[in-house]
Amino acid sequence: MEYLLIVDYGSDAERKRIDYTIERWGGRAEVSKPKGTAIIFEGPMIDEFLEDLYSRIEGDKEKIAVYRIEDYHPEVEERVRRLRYESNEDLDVIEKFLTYLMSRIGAGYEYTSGGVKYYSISTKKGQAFIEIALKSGAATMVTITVRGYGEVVDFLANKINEEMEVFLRGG
Amino acid sequence: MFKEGEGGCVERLLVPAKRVLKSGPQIRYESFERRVELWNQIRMNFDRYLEEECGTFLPDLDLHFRSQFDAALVALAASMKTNGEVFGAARMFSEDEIELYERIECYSIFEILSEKDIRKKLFQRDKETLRLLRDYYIEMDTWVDRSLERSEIRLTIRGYLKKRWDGYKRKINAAVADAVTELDWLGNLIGTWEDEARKRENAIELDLVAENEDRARKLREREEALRFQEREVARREEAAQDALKSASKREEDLNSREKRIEAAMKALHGSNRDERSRYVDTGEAKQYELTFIGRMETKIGVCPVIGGRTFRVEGSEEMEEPVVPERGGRSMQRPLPLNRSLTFRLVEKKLLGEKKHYVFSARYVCRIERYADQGYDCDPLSLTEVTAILDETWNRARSSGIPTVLCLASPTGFERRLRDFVDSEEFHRNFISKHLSFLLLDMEAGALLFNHADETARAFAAICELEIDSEKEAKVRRNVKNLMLEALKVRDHVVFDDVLKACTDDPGMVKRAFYDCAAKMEGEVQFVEGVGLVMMGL
Repeated sequence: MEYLLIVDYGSDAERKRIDYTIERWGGRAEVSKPKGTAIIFEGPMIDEFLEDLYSRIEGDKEKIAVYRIEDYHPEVEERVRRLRYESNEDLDVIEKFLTYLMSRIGAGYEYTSGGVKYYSISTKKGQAFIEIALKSGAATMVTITVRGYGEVVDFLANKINEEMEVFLRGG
Repeated sequence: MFKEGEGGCVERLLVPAKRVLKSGPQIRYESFERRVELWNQIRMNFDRYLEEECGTFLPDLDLHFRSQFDAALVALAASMKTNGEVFGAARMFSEDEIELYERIECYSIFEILSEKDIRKKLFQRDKETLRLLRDYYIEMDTWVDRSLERSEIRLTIRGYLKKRWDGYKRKINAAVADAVTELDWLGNLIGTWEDEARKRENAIELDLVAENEDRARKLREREEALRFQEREVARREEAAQDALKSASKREEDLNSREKRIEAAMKALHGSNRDERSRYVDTGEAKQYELTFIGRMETKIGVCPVIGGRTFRVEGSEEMEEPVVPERGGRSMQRPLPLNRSLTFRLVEKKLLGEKKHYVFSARYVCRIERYADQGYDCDPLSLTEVTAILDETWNRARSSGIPTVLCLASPTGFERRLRDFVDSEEFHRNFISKHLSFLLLDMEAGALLFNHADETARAFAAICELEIDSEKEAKVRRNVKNLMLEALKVRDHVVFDDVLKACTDDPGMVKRAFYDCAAKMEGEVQFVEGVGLVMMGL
């Protein structure tokens, strides 16, 4: 079974990352970027369109490969890892540490909403989003959520967990 | 100075931004981690500023503060781009915004140089300074001006960079104005650059004009295509509406037709099946009459051979019924049948012995008043009507003493009772009159009925029969039969008009075949108002 993927990238950097992904997958599957132009035709007059197209190309019609496409709904879901901690440290101290930690792992602050800070991060293993929620009380409750696709989620969650444990143990 | 806001608070929030701005492009030499930290601090502080943690400020001042936050962020984004670092959050700035920052910051050297320093460098023909000046004169100044007008670049960044650029320009212009008075070569060089700039400007303008024209042409084409599409959509909608109307009309017609047929079928179960079993319009009735009379004249001719004997026509008489009073003007519009009759007195041609005499009367009978009134007739001739004619002819034959042969032709045929009677054994045995023999000719079905036990009638049968191309007739019949069987698979009736539409043969032949097949299928043919002839399966 062959699949046609259309990726609408927004920057040159994104295009490069896509190219790199295709390159990485070269050994595991037949992945290639088709040469020329890809056309999506919708409607019943495909044969008439092809007839017109054949009359415009130079050389034989082997240049044109035609496939019938149908929507494919991949069974790929966003992965989420939630890390929860309870600490006797003051909220300010924990907040400062988390700000430092986010900078250390290269996560860029995006915005705050409902008391939750949102960060985005791009690593060699992919991109992910991190949400940090702090709640003060008898103890300070920390919830760190990592969202993304693929191995980056576990990679980041493990890294954050290690750092948090060292910090909470009084490092 | 401030409206409400606290200057000290803003100054505190701006610390990391100012730290970045002070470094300018040199910030790239800080570690990635440190720059991410600065980024996060600036973003968080910017959020706090926007949430009015420090209060509100007059618009100019507010723009100034926001410009510093954004400019610091764009400086960090540019540093990450230059270093080839991946930092997703920096995507908040477009490539254009980063490029504008980078290109203007190339001139940041003029930040630290005084006018005197620049003049000195010009005297020394410093390559880097001359390169920057060349770019400045040829394209940079125009390019920056254009970029600063672009609305897709954040206003805050445009505001910050405009101030920076204006500062550099002031210094460059002052230094050059001073130096050019003493350095002739510089004046010439600047003149060359300005010429080149003008040429480029003209080329750009020409490109712009061409691009605008191209855009306008494409726009016109698109508008035209759009108008065409709109017209096409309107036309299709109209066609779809028409098709819908026509489909619903057809459905209505079909429903109405089905209802009429259903009613006729119900009525048929409790009534005389002969009633309305035919449909002959005025034109057809007239045509049948002309055919019948014409054929009889031809067949009798001068010396007809009947039953192996040759006869001569001693005399003939033609009669027709008086024209019925006109009703609804129909008789004016189309010629009505006249119930014409031809009577021949036939004498056997023979020299010796007794000569046979016959009166042969060919009589066409139809209900003229119906053709005049409603334009059609759908009932076969009844036993009563035929009996009246037979009675009248028999009386005349009896008084003349000459055996009379009556050929009675009807466009709508004869009712079943009459047909069964003439075809019955009883009739064959009993109805043999020395005065009158008769033959009944169904003009439409082409059937000839007579008493086969009657020798005289048998002898005249050849004259009265319609000449039919049996091969062609059989072919049409096969065709009609198949169409009727197909129709019966779907419903319990067959509409003659549907069969006729599917046939390319002579309508008369198709109709004859329809009657014939209906009889063989033991179906009843009925005329249904608004539908026409329908064979109903019983």
